Amino acid sequence: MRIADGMLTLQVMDNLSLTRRDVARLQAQLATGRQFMRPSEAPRAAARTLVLQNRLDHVERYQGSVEQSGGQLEVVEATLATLTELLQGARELAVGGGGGTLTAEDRARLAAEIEQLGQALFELGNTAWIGRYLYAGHRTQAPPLERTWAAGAWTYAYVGDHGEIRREVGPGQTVTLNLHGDAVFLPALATLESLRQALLANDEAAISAAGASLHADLEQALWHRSMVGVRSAHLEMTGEQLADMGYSYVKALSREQDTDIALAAANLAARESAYQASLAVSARLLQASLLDYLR
Amino acid sequence: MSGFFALELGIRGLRAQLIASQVIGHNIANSRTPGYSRQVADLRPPPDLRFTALGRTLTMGTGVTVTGIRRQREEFLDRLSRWHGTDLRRLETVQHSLDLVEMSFAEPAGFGPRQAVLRLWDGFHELAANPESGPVRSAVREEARALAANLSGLATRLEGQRTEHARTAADVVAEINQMAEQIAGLNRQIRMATLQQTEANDLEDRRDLLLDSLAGLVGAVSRRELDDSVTVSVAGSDIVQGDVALPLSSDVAGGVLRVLDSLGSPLSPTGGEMAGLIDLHNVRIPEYINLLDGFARQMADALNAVHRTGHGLDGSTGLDLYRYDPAAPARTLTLAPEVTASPLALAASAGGEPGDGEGALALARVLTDPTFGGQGAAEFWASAIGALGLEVESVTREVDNTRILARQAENRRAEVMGVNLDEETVHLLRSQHAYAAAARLISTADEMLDTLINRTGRVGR
Repeated sequence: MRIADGMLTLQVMDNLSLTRRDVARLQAQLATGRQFMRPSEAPRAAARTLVLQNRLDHVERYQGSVEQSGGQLEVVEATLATLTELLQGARELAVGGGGGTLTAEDRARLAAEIEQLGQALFELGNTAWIGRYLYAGHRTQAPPLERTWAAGAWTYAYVGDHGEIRREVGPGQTVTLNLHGDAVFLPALATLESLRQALLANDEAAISAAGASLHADLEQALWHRSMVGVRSAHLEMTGEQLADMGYSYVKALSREQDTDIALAAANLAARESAYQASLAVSARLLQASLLDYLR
Repeated sequence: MSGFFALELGIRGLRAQLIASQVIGHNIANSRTPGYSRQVADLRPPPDLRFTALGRTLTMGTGVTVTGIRRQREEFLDRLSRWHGTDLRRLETVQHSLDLVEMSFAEPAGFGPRQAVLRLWDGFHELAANPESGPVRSAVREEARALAANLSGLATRLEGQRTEHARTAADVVAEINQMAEQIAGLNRQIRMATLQQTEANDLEDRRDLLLDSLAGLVGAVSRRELDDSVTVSVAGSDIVQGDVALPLSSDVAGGVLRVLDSLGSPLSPTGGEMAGLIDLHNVRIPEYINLLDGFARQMADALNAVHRTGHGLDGSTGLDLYRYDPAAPARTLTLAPEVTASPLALAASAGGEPGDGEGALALARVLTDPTFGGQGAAEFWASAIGALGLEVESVTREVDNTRILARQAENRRAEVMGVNLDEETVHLLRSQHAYAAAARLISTADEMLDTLINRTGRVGR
């Protein structure tokens, strides 16, 4: 076979550029920590990587939602805790107020205290958190409870709606964050008002009836609290599941796209020495000529 | 038989070896000239001489003569080389363009439509959690705008790439016509040389080089005629016949790039840069524009349908989120003017109350629902990018394989036509020695004649 000079130089340049391409790719893998810079370098791995990135992104979003929801549920739980305390206080007052030794003046004083409690309860129902009324359903921009004074008695009204504040914490998985003011506060407020009226009227039978109804209200408040507690616990579990899922996605993603540093470094060293060798051989090959040996 | 014959013999040798070494010199000078084929002086003994001497008829050689200077070339290898070169050029053109498409989609690390979709989905969730917040609304509107801008930017870039291919095709056609013109001119010169019974080696080299280029540009094939001219044709239509070049033209009719022969009927080149450009302009790039258009239309329609049922914080309802021109959905995709005017128009609420984020959740669900070819929006782009990666990979692999084949064909051709300086040096040495020996022959003959003329017939002087 004849070897023309042009063939030799072309071959040398082909080989050098092939080796250099390998060296450049390994260098990029090591520098970026990624096995591929473009989808076409590993299309199947790239498609899997992108799907995993999508899932991971969703999981991170859901994790954020879980955290934010947890914050709001905590505030709701705290107001419910206050509600229970207030109602317990009111019940003690009712029990005390039902005692046969009390005079009408004592009861009037108790009535004033109950009015204070009613005021506190009313304000609790209008709790706002980050610019939002918690017990107003979807009408979060206005206080949900209103009261009017007429003929010596308070009447309470709920002006919120029954909208549910829901967060998505998983595909098709939602958690409800709010309770409605009319269910949580209105009965208790009405009971307190009737207790106040009974105390003012010095009517022992009515006082004990109001006390019994306060008991029911307290039960109701505790039930609400436990419901929120269950939601919190559920949310926490979801959060843990999401964390596990996120971790597994990160792991899978790393397997698909991250450079195996040790392997890449070893390959790079091997390719580099191949490159050196081919440079040395080419230099000697291209230099040699018959003319060097003719006088 | 004359005594001067040996002198004649010597001179013939001198002349022949001088010509041979000049041919070698030409080879050496052109050892790096592209398309140059090595030439060899054809040395041959002239017709022998019969004469009667010493009582018998003798046949004696009459020295050497140069019957021609031949280029070393094999037509079959030219064809093989051009055939692979045509293929390679077409694939390289496709590869370069698809590389740009791949980079435009900015995966896996940049900001492409997939990331824009994820960000918008994230934004809708943020909006669902904070439907009353002005700043959150502005941020979500930005994400929605970024997605539209991304899709329309991509569509515009691909459309521009397509236009660029049509423009390149026009340039290529001009180049082809110029080369056809040159080949027609060379055909004339070579035919003249043939008529005068001489070689036109360097002219033929130039013509072959042009034929190589034409094969790469448009997959042209050539046929050698009896008068040594070549007829060049593209997809069955002649572009050079003898001394006449028949120019091609190109146009874009109804969004389709076409190449027309000199009579105006369309051709379909199957190889070369032109075939690659036509493939890209008419098939490959439009596929990606259609992908963007289809996605933009589906996404805008689905989001709009949900957005219209929701309510903005300003009480607006029945509004679209996106707007587009059905003729080019991706390129013209923008936010609806009401949403551009105020982020309060974003319909985060399903029922109209300010704290209601159900509308935003429904919008987010549109992006994860399997409305996009049976998948969510982000998944749709993950598979589309995967498919694009596969296409680029397979073209790249084809290019690599074809490049090896083309290089092999090129090598086989170089084996015949390439200059090897060592070989030329050896030939030069041989010519030099032969020249010296021929010179010695002349001086020897001279001495012999001297003996005959000056030193004989002096007997008794």
